[in-house]
This record gives sequence, structure tokens and C-alpha cells, in this order.
Amino acid sequence: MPIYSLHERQNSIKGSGEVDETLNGSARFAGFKYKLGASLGITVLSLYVAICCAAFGQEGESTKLLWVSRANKISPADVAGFDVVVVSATAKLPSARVPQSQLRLALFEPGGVLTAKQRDLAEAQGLVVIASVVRENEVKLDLSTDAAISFAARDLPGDLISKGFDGLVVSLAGLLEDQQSALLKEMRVAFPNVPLYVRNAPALAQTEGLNLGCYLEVPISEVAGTAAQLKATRWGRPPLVVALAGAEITPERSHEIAQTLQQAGATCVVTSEKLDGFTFAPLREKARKALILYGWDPREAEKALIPPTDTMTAELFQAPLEHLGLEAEYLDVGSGNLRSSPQGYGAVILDAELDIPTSRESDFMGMLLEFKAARVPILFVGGMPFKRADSIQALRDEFGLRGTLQEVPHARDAEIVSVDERLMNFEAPVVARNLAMMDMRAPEDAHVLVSQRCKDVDDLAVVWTPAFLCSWGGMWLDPHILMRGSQDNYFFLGDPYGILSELIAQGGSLPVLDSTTRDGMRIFYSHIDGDGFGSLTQFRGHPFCAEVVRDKILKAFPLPVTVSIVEAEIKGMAQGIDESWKPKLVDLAKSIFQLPNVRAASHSFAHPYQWDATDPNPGIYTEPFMTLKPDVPYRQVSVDREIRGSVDYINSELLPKDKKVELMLWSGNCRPGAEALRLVEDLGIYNMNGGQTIVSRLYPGIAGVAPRVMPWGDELQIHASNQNEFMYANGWNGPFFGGFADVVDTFERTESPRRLKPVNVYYHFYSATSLSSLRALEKVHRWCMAQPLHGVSALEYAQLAKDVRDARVFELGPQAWRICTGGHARTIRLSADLGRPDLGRSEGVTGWVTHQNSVYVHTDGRHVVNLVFRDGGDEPPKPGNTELRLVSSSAGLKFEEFGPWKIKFVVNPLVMTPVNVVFSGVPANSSCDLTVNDARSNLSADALGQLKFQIPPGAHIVLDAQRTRYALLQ
Amino acid sequence: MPNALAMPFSNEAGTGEPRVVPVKLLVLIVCLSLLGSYLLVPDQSQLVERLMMDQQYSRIQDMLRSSLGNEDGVDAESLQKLGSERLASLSNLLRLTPREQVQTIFAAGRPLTYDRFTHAVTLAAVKYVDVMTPEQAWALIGKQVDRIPPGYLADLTSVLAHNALATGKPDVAARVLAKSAELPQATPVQAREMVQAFRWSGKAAEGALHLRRWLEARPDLASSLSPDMMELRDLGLQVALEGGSPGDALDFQIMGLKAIPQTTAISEPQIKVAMSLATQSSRTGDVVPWLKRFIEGLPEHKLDWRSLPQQKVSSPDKFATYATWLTKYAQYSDWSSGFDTAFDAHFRLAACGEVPSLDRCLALADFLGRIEELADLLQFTSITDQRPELQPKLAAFLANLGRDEEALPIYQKWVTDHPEDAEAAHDLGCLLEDMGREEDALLAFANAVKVHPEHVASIKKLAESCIRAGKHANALQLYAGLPEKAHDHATLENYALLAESLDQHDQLFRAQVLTTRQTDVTTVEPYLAIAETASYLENPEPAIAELEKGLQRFPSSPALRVAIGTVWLRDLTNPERCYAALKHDSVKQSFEGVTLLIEIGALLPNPPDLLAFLGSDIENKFSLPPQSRLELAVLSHRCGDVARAERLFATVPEEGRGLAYLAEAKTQLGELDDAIRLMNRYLEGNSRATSEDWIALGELFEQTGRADEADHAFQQSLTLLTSDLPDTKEAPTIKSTQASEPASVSPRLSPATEP
Repeated sequence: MPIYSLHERQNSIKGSGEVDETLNGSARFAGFKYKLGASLGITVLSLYVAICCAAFGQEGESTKLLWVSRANKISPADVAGFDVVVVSATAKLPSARVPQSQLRLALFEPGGVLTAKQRDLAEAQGLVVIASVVRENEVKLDLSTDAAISFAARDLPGDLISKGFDGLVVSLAGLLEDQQSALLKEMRVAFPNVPLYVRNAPALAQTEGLNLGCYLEVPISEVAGTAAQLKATRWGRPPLVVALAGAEITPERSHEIAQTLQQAGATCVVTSEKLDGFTFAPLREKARKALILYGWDPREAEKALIPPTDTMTAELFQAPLEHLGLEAEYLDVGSGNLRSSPQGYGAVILDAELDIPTSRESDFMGMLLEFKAARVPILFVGGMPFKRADSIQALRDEFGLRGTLQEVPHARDAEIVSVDERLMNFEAPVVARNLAMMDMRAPEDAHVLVSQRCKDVDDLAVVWTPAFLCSWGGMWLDPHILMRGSQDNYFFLGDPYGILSELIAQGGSLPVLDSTTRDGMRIFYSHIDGDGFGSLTQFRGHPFCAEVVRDKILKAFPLPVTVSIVEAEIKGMAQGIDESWKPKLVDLAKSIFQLPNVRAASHSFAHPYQWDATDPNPGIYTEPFMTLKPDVPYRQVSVDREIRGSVDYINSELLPKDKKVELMLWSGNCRPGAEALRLVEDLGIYNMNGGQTIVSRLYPGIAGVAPRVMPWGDELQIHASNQNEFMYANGWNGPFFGGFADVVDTFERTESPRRLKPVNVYYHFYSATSLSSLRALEKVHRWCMAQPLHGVSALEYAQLAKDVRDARVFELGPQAWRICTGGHARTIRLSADLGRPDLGRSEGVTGWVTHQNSVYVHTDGRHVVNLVFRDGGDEPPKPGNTELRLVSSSAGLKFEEFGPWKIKFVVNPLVMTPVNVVFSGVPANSSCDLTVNDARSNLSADALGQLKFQIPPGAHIVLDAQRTRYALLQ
Repeated sequence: MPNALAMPFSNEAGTGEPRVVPVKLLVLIVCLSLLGSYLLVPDQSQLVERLMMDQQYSRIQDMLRSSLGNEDGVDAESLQKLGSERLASLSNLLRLTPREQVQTIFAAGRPLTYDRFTHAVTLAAVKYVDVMTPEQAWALIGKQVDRIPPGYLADLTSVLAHNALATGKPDVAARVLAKSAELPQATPVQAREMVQAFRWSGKAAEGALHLRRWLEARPDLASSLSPDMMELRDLGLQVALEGGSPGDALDFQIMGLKAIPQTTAISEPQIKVAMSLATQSSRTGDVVPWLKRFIEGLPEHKLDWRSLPQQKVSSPDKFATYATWLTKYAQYSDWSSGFDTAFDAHFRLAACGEVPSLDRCLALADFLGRIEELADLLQFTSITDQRPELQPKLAAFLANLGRDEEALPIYQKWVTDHPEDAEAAHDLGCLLEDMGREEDALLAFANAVKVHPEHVASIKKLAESCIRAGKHANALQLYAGLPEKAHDHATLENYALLAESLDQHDQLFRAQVLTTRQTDVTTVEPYLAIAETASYLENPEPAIAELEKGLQRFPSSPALRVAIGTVWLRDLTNPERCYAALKHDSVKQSFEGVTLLIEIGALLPNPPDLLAFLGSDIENKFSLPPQSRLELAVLSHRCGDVARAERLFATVPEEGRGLAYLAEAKTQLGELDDAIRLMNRYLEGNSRATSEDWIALGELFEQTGRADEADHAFQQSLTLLTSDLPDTKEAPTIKSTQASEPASVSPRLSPATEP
């Protein structure tokens, strides 16, 4: 009986109607057969009803969640799970609403700065606008006339409502009293059913007959008073209260504040003072960002500003940070806003490419101290960024460092004092270096990773601890980070995963949104850059490369592949492409895009080598783009032509009706810059390429593992998970071209000892020019076919990569988290030491698999997942403890019913191979019913309680483990 | 000048009334004209009536009976149907002489309708050679022959041809028959007559040409196996040869070959004739398909190429014949750009050991994309024994086919046997690398470099292999050994990285210098790197020389000037040269430059010059740190600007670390008691005080003769210093005051050099 009650409770939490039926049916069956069974059934039913009541009772008490942000870019993950969302009027909200009842409010400031469109509209109506004396092109509306009030009350909000907002939070700051009431009255007349909240003016919010809501932003110090006021007033609708807290607020305090406000009847959030969306309570958000400080004043440093991708962190540490669950956010100290609030950050890294402008050193130090006070770990990497003696002194004093913190010129006879063998001597041994020797010792409490000493010019001993971890973070300085063998071969002297893991450990367990695995299997995706589409192969008859790739790869290996083309090549505009080939190339492209396993992408119009003309490090290219025929009127890269033009061409001329271009695959230096990325986003497609992950026998250092994504301004570049064949085949310089077969070595190295990347087979059409390179491709594909992989399209991976960055994690309690995503990030990784998911108490979790001392938890793709861990139970479970779960699947499954004994799902119909599925959670060697498209069969579990079977794409499956229960009853 | 176009609309245009005929009068004139015409012109019946009266009808009837063999002639009704104009012209024709009749009928300017009446008149006119010779007749008719309907033309040409032959004019007959042969209805007999006529007239080639055209227009007949047609084709071939036109003869032969059913083999004599004619006419390409068909009919050709060598041994004679034909086939294909076919033929010949054919295959394989077959051939045959130099080529073929495992032993053996082949040795390394056999690749490249120490490509590859294998010192040695011109962007970067990683500063310096020479340097960064390296060089002078070159390129770079100044001061202990480098207006905008200038102020022989250069308000332009402000204060004080010095002193509060800074400044101004006071205050209960702080205090006590207190201070410093130092094998020498100052004193400036 206790066995049943456990499941009853689980089902009640899930609220699954199907389970109800199952239980009733089962109880009837038991009653029919056995009296004992009947009584059990009745007991179960009673318990079920009781628990349901309890659950409903809880539901009744549950409060609504509020989220407020001033950001302009709002991702689906940002708003998922919140009942009320308040954002800037200029923000663009995602289309998906989770929950469906989500109320979306725009912060509307009638007296605020007008957008260009609003200004034009106002001027067209003859209204007066007031120009800002401080900022150019900034204008506000002169609200002194009735016409202006009417415009502000009708036209401006109307535009917002039409953009998809449900209601408005009206900020009346700066308006006269009569203007305020006139405006509100007119708004109510114009929008009689739209929820209107008044910001920070509770008295106005109580205006009779207007049915207004109250929206308050209050510092936490004023929360008690505010709560008292709220209690004393009767509100038509619950007031929205935003409690503004500093980074120093404790979880207990924030929880207390939220409770106080909730008890006063408010829908509230305790969030950061900067209203950046980070929440302290009622949901305690986990910090998922690492702040990377880099850059310089270009005039002072006499070198151009660099984008984040050129920093040491991007090159070496972003990938480990991502693996550990932190997303890198870069702040250019030369041009950016120096002060940044510490909340939301799990670490701060002072990059090696940081040269603080001397005039800002003091401010910079202040910011560091703020982070230090908020207990955000700070890691100095590379070198010391301060030049001013007073700053260095402050660093010494505030961070507990010892020594002069000055470089020791002419240092010699360096020798190692100590090396932490666990975290150092990683890919290459630490050796004593005279280079960059400093008179600096770690704070007293530090965990010293490397300590060395040398003699200075006066033959005196100086000690330096270039690598250490301590209470405030630590340092890992050059030249003790890497052994730089060449431009392609770096060897870490310390384990970046281990060191960074220890650095951020004090932040507690962080569920990591994983981009390598889906449904328990490593992700596979493949994409082809269009280069060489029209090149002739070396085979008999010299067919086009594309023809050979189509016939020998795309048709031969039924894996999902995203194929791109270069427009100028297909159109015969490229040098070397005969005009007469054009119709053949067009037909060839069409035939490829018609293949069922092929998805479409663009590889630009003319294959730019350098995307951004202002890029300070564009790479060594002699031409801006591929050589075109002289009569083609195209002289310099036009981002619009390259992206929009090529996408339009492919969509309209080459694709079948049911397909559209999904991705823009960067060409050349793969450094798109913000403008190009913005354009791609505006087109509603995703982007990919760059990063150049390569770690193999030829490039053995783990430093070759690139980050998953790279920010450019507000935009995001999605890196390919692996480098293409060019680098594997000696830069395509020959004499032999079969090196891409070695990519399997990369796949293995990025799988073990830790899974760092999906399997990404990325190549160009020119891989078919020679038989050796084609055979390498075939070999790689054969390897992929033989591996347990979960195939997705490149688009799906791009969506996943972005979603992982946007995802939010909230701590619900010990070993319990809420994960909000856009629905693409469907795997959560945690240390296996934390236990195993408690499926009964979790929501949206379909199963898990353990791998490399991690638990990879898979979800059903819902936006809001509640994940609860418990200590690992029996594996396999004892009879009666059946709790079906998905272990792995080689293709996507859509679950229609998910109960402990019965699971119904549909297999992705778009895959082209039989799908391997493993379920677990039934007793060893037990029997289950498997129905595949109405054909029922018996399925036996193995000794581990695993049910392994293969099913066709698109199949409707019912896996019924009721027999395990039946066996117990017998 | 008036506009001519505008004139009709101008007021100055003619002002008189125009003169016109009245409309009524005009209508009257037209009507009268029409009436007159109607009354005066005879109608059809009137014309026939007149014809009868002139007895022309009977003449026409006679003519038709005579010329066309028509018994009935023509009846009156038929004539009545003719138009009046036509009747009139016929009537006129009959009044003319035969020559005039022909002239009239075929006159260029007066195209008469060529109907049965006209035809009858023509036949009657040309019938008798004594009236008009066929040559004369054809001269008149030939130009307008297109007007004659085909049926009439056959009649006419037949009459003329026979008449021409009868009168010994075969050339005329040939011309006439050639014309008639163009008609679709022309029969093989007519064609034969035409050919013969040409032949008799000594124009055999022309006859062959006409016959060929005639046959080409009748493909069914051309490919007919009927005896008539075979005979006709043979006639054509003979006539063509007689006429010295082997090309046409070839066409007749090919027509004959085409007539042979697919199931029937082409005989050797047939193909021989065809080939002979093809050769004579330089049209070997046309015979290739027939040659192919012929060869395909040979039993040897049905064998797989791998069996041919055995066949060559077992049936040498037969094989020789086959080889002869195959060689011809290969040649002809080659000559006619049928390279794939040529390759096929040469391939089979090469399989039997024909070296020229192998060469041809080698030449064609890449172009045709048939490397794989060639590789198989080279592996199969023993021909590489005759041509050993093909071994590395075979290995390269196999490697390019992705058959690395087969290529490798060939390369290895070749490189062992031919150590002089640098390229093969290099390629062997590349192959091993391509196969992922890194260690073996390293050994192969090492071997290549050992034998060919000048082989730059192998050296670069070896260096890369060494880096991957962690043999960084070896890699650096290799890069260091490369001559300047052999370096490229990548090797220079590797060279510098390795040198830096291995603390090989001289090599790093060389790499950096080469970089500044090789690449298009647009920023001062490479020079700043040189300046950084300078501190590790035994002799920094060369670095200074390079930096000076940089300064010529970037004269207004404060960063470069600060870097040069630092090298002069830090590494060459020459503050004056440091000052010289920094004394540039651009440096006044640089925080680092200004603080460095202030720092060296005390070391310069003429500090007032420095103060003048910096200006009187430099402390207001920058937010100088306390140390710099105090250094500037000391400098100002020494230069006599006490007020400024005091102002600057006042900016540093007597608290925290400021106490130590102030103590140091006071020390430099000789205000030792004040300095002791400040230092004591700073150290009192300060847990963050360093050994250097205590040493500074000890020295102050020493200078003021307070030995006990000095000893106490030094003891404090010693305690701190030893507690800080880690436990190491060798006890370090304790740093003295002279060696290191606390952070307040830059290590760039040794107090020992103070004036």
C-alpha cells in the first residue's frame, strides 16, 4: 500500500488526468479479481482524493510571480514562468506565453523620450516637441495642451497595445497634477478594458471610476511601510510591487521582504536596483553570468579596440565557464559603462587584454571592491591591469596581497617553490620563469597553485605566486597559464575546468544547461559551407563537387544536414564558374534542397572574407570576398546584399515550397560584427560558424575548444561546435587531403574525460574534389552512424545554443530548482553526487542518464521545468517501485502521457533512420507491453531494468509497465 | 534667324490663297475615264473569239500534242478558262522563233508562269539540237531553273542531257543532270547517270560530291544493302578517288560501314580502307567509332585488362595484330581529342608493358580524373620496374585516392632507396601526418631535414611536429636556423611564441625584429614588444637601435617614447637619454610618460628644464597618484618653487599609506625628524606594514644617529621578511633597503643613483 500511495502523490502533483484513469481502471481490475486488490484500490483512491485536495489547497495559496526589466532584448526564457511581466515600452517580447494567462505590461512614460516614429507622428499632428539640450535627437512631448494629452493618452499607448502588450504601467513622473489625472481619464476612456497601472503614485491609482492598478518600485528599506499602506487600502486588483535591493541582500532577507509584500496582497518581486531582471525573491535566481572585463582607451593605449572574441578569456576560459554553467558577458572598460551591479554574476574575470585607462583606475577599483563585497569571485588572468601606483597600493591593501606588486626587472635563476599537482602540471609542466616575474605573494588564506622565486638584479631573492585561489577569487597570471608552442598549439599549465570550478564553487550547486546532449545522447549535427559547390572534382568526368556530395554523402548517409550555397557561385558570377554551368548548378542546388534530410542555409552572396570593415583583426586576406567575374558590379562587401540578398535568392529560386533558409553560415574570418548579426536576427533566422574548435592529434591542446557562443554588442554569434575540414587537411595546402578523418579524434577528445561539444560534422563542398578527402568524409560519416548520437539540425543546435545562454535558474530549495528556457534547452547537467531527479516531485522531467559522474536530466521541452533531486534510490527498482523514465533516445520524442507505469509518445517523423530508445525504472527482467503503431508486443527489461528497443520514425508508441504492478499483486 | 520648322506657322508665311481644282470637276473626270475603259477593253469571250479568228488555237493545240504527247491537245473550254493576259502572251510566244521563245520564257525580267503550255513551248523549242544546242538552251534555262516545277524539270533536263551526250557535251549533261538530281524524285539511275556524266566530263570529284549529297539527302538509300545502292556507293568511292577527294571517298566508305548491321562484324579490309581514306583525308576522328567497333569485335578486346599480358605471351601473333589495331585506335582517338577513348586504349596497351602508352596514360589521367585506374595499373604491372621513378608517383596517386595504407610502404621503400629525393621524403612525412601518425611523421620530417637541411618546407613541418610533440626547444632551434627569407607570417609567430615560452630572449628579439621587417606594421605594438624583451637581453643596445627605427615610423607615439625611455632608464641606466626620448610634446598627453618624467626628475642634471617642459600645471592636467605628486613637490622644492611644493604636499593627507609617502618625500628633502614622525605614525599598529617600511624607518634612525631604534626597526623588518618567505631548499638572501622599496618607490628608479 505505501507503494501506491507514493505514486498517487506524484501523480497528484503532476495533475495528470490519464493517470487518474489508469489508477481507477487498475483498481477496478484488482477489485474484480481480488478482494485485497479492491480494498487497496479504494485506499489508493481515497488517498488520491485527499492529496488532490491538498494540492488544490496549495494552489489556492500560491501567489503570482512578477518580473520587471528595463532591458530591450527579452528572451523567451526571461519571461517564462512569470505571471506578470513589466518591461520597457521599446522591448520586443517573445511570442510564446508561459503561462498562457501571462499579463504583459509595458512601462509607458508619456513624458519620456519619444522614438523617431512617435516624434514624426506627433509633429504630423502639429504637436510641440521639446528637444533635449544634453543629447542630440532626444525629444519629449510638450504635454501642456489638450491635444498633446490626447495624443499621449491615445496614440502612444495604442501603438504599444497593438505591439502585443496587454496593459500599461503608466509613469507620470514630471507631469503636473492636472495633466496626470487628465491623461489617466482619457486613457481609460480610450482603452476601457486594458489593465492600467500607475507607477509610484498610489493615490492616483485609487482614482474613483478608473479601475487603475498600483505599481510601486520601492527600496527594500521602505518595504515595511509600503506593505502597511497596501494593507490599509482595498485594491481592485493586486498591486505590483518591485522591491529594489542591492547585491548584498541575503536570501533570507529577500525572502522575508517578498513574504511581507505578499501578505499585504501584492504581487511582488525583489530585484536589483538596476532593474536588470535579476530576481532575489520570491524566486531566488542563481547567477549564471561571468563578467569579463577587458579593453582599453584606444587613444591612450595606441591600439584599436578589440571585440570580446579577441580576449584571452574568449580564447581560453569562456568554454570552461560555459561548461560550468556560466555565460560570459563582456564589458569593455575603455568604452563601456564601468560600474556594473554584481548581482547575476557568478564570477568576474579581469582579462589579459585589459588595460584600464589611467583616469578610470580608481572607479575600476571601486567596482572591483563592490563585487568583492558581494562575494562574487574575482579572477585576474594574464597580467596586472593597473598602472597607477595608488591603484596598485589599493589592490595590495584591499585584496590582502603581499609584496610591492611590481615587476622584477632582469630577474634570473627562477625556481619553483611549490606547484599544486592536482590543478597544475596539466597539459604541460609548470616551469620556473624569469619572464614577467613580480614581487607579489598571495593573501595568507590563499590556496597557492604555483609559487616561484628568483633573484633580482641585486642577487636578492624575490617570491611570486602567479597562480592562487583565495576567498575573494584568485589570480592566474602569465606566463603560468599556457605553454604557447605555436599559433595553433597551446598547452594549459593548469586545469582551467578545475581551477574555474573551484573559483565559483562557493556559489553552490548550479544546474548547468547543457548544449551537448539531448534525451540522454550526445547531439549530432552537420552543416556544409557552400564553397566549392560548382568546383569540378578529380573524378572521371569531373562532376561538380556538389553532385558528388549529394550522391556519396547526403543520399548515402541519412543524417540531418544543413546545406548552404554561395549565391554568386550558383549564379555563375564567381571566377572559374563557366556561364554555361549555371543551369546545371541551379538544378543541382534544387535537387539537394529537395532531399528530405537536408535543411537550407545561406553562405552569403560573394563569400566575404572580412565581414566587418572596421574589424581591427580581420585576418590575413588579400581580397574582400571571393573573386567575381569582372562584369559583376560588386566592389565591396554589403552586409545587406550578402545576407538578405542571398537568403531571398535561395528562398525564392532554389527551395521547395516547404523549406526556408534557417541559418546564415558565416564565411571567411567568421567575425560578423554586430550589424550583420542584427540583420540576421531581423530576418528571423539564426546564425552559425566561427569559434574554430579544434583539438586533435594535430592540435592537441584543450585550449582549442572554443566557446559555444560569442557576443558582439547586443548580438550573439553561434559558434560551430567544431572546426571544418580546412584545418584538418593542412589548410588545404596539400599535398594530401585526407586529414579530416582525424575529426573523429576531436569527437573523442571532446567527449572524454568530459563531454564538451556535440558531434558536429562541418565541411565544405570542396571536400569532394579529391577522392582522399571524400573518403575521409565517408569515414567520418560511417563513424557517426555507428555512434549512439541524437541527430538534430544545425538550426536546432543554434536555437539550443542561444537558449542555453538565455536560460534562467531559480533556487526553489535544497536540491530543487526551477529552470526557465525558451524550450530548446532540454538537458540539465548536475553532479551525480547531488543524487538523482525525483520524477514525482519534478515537472517537465522525462528522465536522466548518468555519464562521467554527471546526471544529464532531460526535459520534455516545456519552458518552465521544476527539477527536484533526491538521494539515488535502488537501481533497478524493486518490484512495485516502477517509475518509468527515458534514459536515451536517438531522436526527438513527443510525450503525450508520462506516468510512472505508462508512457505514450510519438517519434519525430523527420528522422530517416530507426530510432533507438532506452527506458528504465522497471524491475530487473520484468515484462512490459510495447505498442508500436497499434501493434502490441511484449518487451523484457534487462538485468538493469532497462527496456531497449528500436522504433520507426513517426511511430506512435505506448509503453505500458502495468504488469510490473500486476506481478506484485499476484 | 527664323526657325525653318516654325515657318508654316509664322505670321510672315505666304499670305495668298492656294490654287486648287474643284472637287466636282475631279469626280467628273474620274467617272468619264472609268466609262471609257469599260467600253474600250475587250472581255474574255471577245478575246477567245479573236484567237479563233487568228487560228492561234489550232497552233497551240498542235504544239501541245507534239511536245507533251497529248493526243487531245487542248480544248476550247480550257482556253476560255485562261485569262486574257495569259492568252495574249501565249499567242505572242507562238509567233516567235524557238530561241526567242526560250529567251522569252526564261527572261529574268519577265517571269512567265511555267505551266503546261509554256512547258510545251519550251520542249518544242529545245527538242532539236540544230535549232538550239543543249548548251545554249541550258545557258538560258539554267539561270531560271528554279521556276520550273519538278515534274517539268525532269522532262526538260532529260531531253537536254540526252541531247548533250548525243552531241558530245558530257559536261553540259552533267550540269543538267546534277540539277535534276537535286529533285526529291530523282532516282538512283538518274544519280548514276549524273555521276557518269561528270566522270565522262573529267569532273569525277564533282560527280562524287553530287552523289554524296544525293545520298546524304536520302539516308535510307545511303544505308541500304541493296546491290544497286552498294554499287552506287562503290561508284561514288571510285569517282571520289579518281577525283582526288579521299574525304568524299571516306564518306562513301562510312556510308557502307553504316549499312553493316550491328550484329555483323566489320571486316579488316573494310576498316583498312576506311583508315586509309581517313588518313589521306586527315579525318581520323571520323573513323574512330568504326575502329572502335572493329576492335570490339576482336576476341582479345573482350578480355579483362589484367589478362592481356598472359594473352600476349600465349598468342603473340594474334596479340600483335590486336596491339597494332589498338595502337591505331589510341592514336586516332588522341588525334581527334577523344582522350577518354585514347586513355582506354593506351591503358590496355600499358597493361601489356607498352611504356609510351603508359606515359600517355600518365599524361591524361589527371586531366580525365582517372587516377584510380592508373594507380591500379601501376600496382598491377611490373612496368614500374622499367620506370622506377614512377614509384613515388604511384604512392602519391594512392594517397590522393585515400588509400594511405597502400601508399605508405611505397613511399617508405622509395625514400629508403632514394635518399636524394627530398620531395618524396617530405611527402612521406606529410602522408604520415595526414594519417594521424604524428610520431612517425616527426621522424620522417626529421629524416628529410637530416638529409636535406636546406629543405625549407620540411623544416617548417618538422618544427610543427616538434611543437605538437612537446619538443619545443627543437622547434625553436629549427625556426632559429631558418634564414630570414624563408620565414613567413606563421613561422615568425611560432618562432616568437616558442622563444618567449622558453625564455630564449635573444631568439625572441630576433623573431620580433623579423616581424617588424616582414609584416606591414601599422601600430607600435611590435616595437613595444621589443622594448619589453629588451629587459631580458644581455645587451639591450640592439633593441634600442630597433626602437629608434620604430620611432622614425611613429614619431608621435607616446607609448613608444615611454617604452624607449624605460629601456634607457631601466636597462641602460641612462636617465638623460630617457629624458631625451620622452621630451616630446606628444608625451605631455601620456600619464605614463608624465609620471616617468617626474620620476626621473631627480636624476637629471637640469631639473628646471624638465619642470619647464612639463609646465606649471601638470598636476592639474592629470590625476597624479600621491607618489608622483610628492616627487613633483620634491622636484619643485629643489628648483626653488617652494609654494608649489607645499601645495603639492598638501594634496597628500597624513593618513594611511599617505604617511609613508610623505615620510619618504620628507626624507628626500632632508627633513628627517618629520620623516621619522610620519613613519612612526604609519607603522604604529599597522598590521599591513611591510619589512620595507621598517627598513625605511631604520635607515631614518640610522641617519639621525639613533642606533638602538634603528636596530629595533631592522629587527622588525627581518621578522616580517623571514615570515613571508616560503620554506625552500636554499635560504634566500634577505632583501635590503637598497634593493627594494615598498610600492611607494618604483623599482625602475634605484635610490642608489639618486643625486
